[in-house]
Amino acid sequence: MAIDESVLAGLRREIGVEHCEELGEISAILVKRFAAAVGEERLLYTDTTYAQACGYADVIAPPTFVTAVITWTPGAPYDRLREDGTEADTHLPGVPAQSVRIMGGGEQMTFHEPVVAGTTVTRRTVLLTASERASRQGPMLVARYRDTYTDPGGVSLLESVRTVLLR
Amino acid sequence: MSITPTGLQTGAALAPTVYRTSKVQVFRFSAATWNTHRIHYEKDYAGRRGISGRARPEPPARRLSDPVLH
Repeated sequence: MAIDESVLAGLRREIGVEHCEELGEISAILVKRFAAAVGEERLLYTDTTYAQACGYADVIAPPTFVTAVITWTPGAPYDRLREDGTEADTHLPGVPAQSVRIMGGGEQMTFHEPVVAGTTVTRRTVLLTASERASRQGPMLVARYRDTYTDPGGVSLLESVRTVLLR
Repeated sequence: MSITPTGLQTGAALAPTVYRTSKVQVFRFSAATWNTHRIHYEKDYAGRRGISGRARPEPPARRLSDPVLH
């Protein structure tokens, strides 16, 4: 397995470095599909006409939608997937493109403004900490990232601090 | 209409909620979020990773906002 000092050193070199990515426009169909997938039936999330009557330009996204979407790209070709099925080109600064397995280890979100479909969203990512920890399956690395999502005017929509486990 | 707090105070304990999900729900969630991790659809693979069954992609998102939003 490839979890060793070099992987940890690579992570630590990224600590504090900000990465900015424009995710593109949040489309209403993706919002509505997510709402359906999580069993959310409130009209603000599912009905454009109702949302507009409430003063929004379109439906708003359920709170966890933006952070739950794994990638905002069209998707990597099959040969760019890791052994665990995830895409090699993640937005996880410092994580090697291959030979590590990734798992989510928890997330804390702070919501500032509703994310309205049609909004172009930008994400800024910073690696906060990286450390090694023993586990039942051997050593693993624990990385904590902060993602800040903003609209084109720079208004913060939400912030997420998430823990990623690497083995 | 706007989204406003309903009077809950920070730190207030919320009543526990039990969610039960089906394989179809998990699949739809993974599809809607482009989550291709094998632990969510390959039981044997998840087992080799130390997970019993298939891992649910994330904590229940459905009613996350119930206690605090109109």
